[in-house]
Amino acid sequence: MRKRRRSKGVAPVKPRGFAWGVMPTTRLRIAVLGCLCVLLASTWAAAQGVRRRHAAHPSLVALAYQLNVRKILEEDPASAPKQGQGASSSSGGLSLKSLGFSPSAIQGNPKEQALLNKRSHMLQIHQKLGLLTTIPMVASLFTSFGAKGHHGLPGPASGRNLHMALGLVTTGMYWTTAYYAIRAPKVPGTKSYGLIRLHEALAWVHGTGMILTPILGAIAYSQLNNNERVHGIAKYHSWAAYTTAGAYGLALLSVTLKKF
Amino acid sequence: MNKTILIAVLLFAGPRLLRAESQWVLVESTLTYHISHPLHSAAGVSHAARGKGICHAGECNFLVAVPVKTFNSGNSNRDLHMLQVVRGAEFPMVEVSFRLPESELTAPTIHANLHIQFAGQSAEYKQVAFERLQKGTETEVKGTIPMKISDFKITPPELLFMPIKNSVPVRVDTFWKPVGK
Repeated sequence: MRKRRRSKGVAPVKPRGFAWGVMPTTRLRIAVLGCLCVLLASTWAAAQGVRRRHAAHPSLVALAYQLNVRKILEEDPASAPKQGQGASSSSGGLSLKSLGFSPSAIQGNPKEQALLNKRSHMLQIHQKLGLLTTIPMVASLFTSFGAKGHHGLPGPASGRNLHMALGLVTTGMYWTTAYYAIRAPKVPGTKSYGLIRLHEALAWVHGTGMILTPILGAIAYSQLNNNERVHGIAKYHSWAAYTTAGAYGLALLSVTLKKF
Repeated sequence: MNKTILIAVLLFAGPRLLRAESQWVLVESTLTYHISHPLHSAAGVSHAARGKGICHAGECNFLVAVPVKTFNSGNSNRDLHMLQVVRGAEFPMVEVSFRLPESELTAPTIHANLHIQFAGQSAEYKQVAFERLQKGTETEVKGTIPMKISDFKITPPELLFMPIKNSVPVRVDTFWKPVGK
C-alpha cells in the first residue's frame, strides 16, 4: 500500500507554515541583519547610559558643594558664600524663613535630584531612539507595496524579505524605545497633565499595534511563501500597521509641534 | 516739670523714632518664564512667590522667593524636565533680592539691581526697569527680567537634538502692600 501511494505522488509537497528548518540562506541573512541592527540600537542606548554614569553627577557636585560650604562655615563663618537654599540667605535682615517658607520647602534633596536625573536621562534616550525608529518604520510602510504581488497574489520574495527585515528592525527598535519610557522612574506625588497624557494614551494604541503587526506579518509572510493569497487574520496586517504608524506619528507630534 | 516730661518722652520715643521703619509685603504675584525652541515655545507660571521689603533710614531691602516646583507650563513632563535641568530638587528656591532708595518707591518706573540665586548659582541683573502703578491700597509692580540660562550654568534642554534659546525672559507682575508703619 505504501509503495503504491509513493508512486502516485507526482509533485513534492511544499512545506506548510513558517518552516524555519528549511529557511533559505537569503532570509536567514536578512533576519540576522535585522537582529544586528536591533543589537546596535540597544548597544548605543546602553553606551549612552555608561557615558552618563561616568560623567560628573550633578547631585554629587551639589553634595560636594554643600560639604564645602559647611567646611568653610566651620572654619570662617564670615567668608562663606551666600547660597540661600535652605541656608541663611538674608538680605537686609530678610530670609527665606522670614517669608514664611517651611524648612522642608527650602531644604535641598539630592536623592530626589538623582531620581530626576535618571528619569530625564532615560526619557532623553527614549526621545532619540523614538525618533530614529521612525526611519525603519516609514521604510517598512514604503516597502509594504513590494511585499506582495497584485490582487493579493504572492509577489517576488526579495520585496517580501526586505519588508520583513525592516519590520524586524522597527519592532526591535520600538521595544527598546518603549523600555526607556516604561523603566524611567516615576517621581512620587506627581500627576500627569497636559499633552503628555495624549502621548501616554497613544502608547496603548501603538503598543498594542506593535504586538499585533509583527505577528500578523509573520503569518502573512508564511502564507505568501507557500504561494497562497494572504487570508484569515493575516489580512489585517496592513490595517494594524497603518493604525500603529498613525498613532505613533501622532504621539511624536504631540510632544514636538508648537501647536499641539 | 515740662522739661522733665520732654526729656522722658525723648528718652523713650527717641530711639523708636530713629529706628522707624516701614515694611512691604507681597500679597499677590504672577511670575512667568518663557522658553523658545525652533519647534516649541512654552510659558511656565507660578503664583506662589512670597516677598517682603524692609525700609530703614531711607533705604529699602527686598527679598522675593519662589519655589521652583510651583511653575506650571501645562505639561507635567516638561515641568519635571525643567526641574531636573535647573536642579530644582537640590536648589528648590529662586531668590531675588534688591536694594532701593525709599524715595524711588513712589516713582512711576523703578530701576533695580537684582541679585538672583537660582540653580545653585548667583547672577546680577543691573538696572532692570519695573513699572509701578498705584491700585487702591496696593502697589502693582511689573516688568521683565532678562534672564539667561547660561548665567546660571544651566545646560539648555534639547528637543529633537535642538537646544532651547539661551534667553528665558521672566515676566513679573506683583502686588505689594505696606504694613506696620
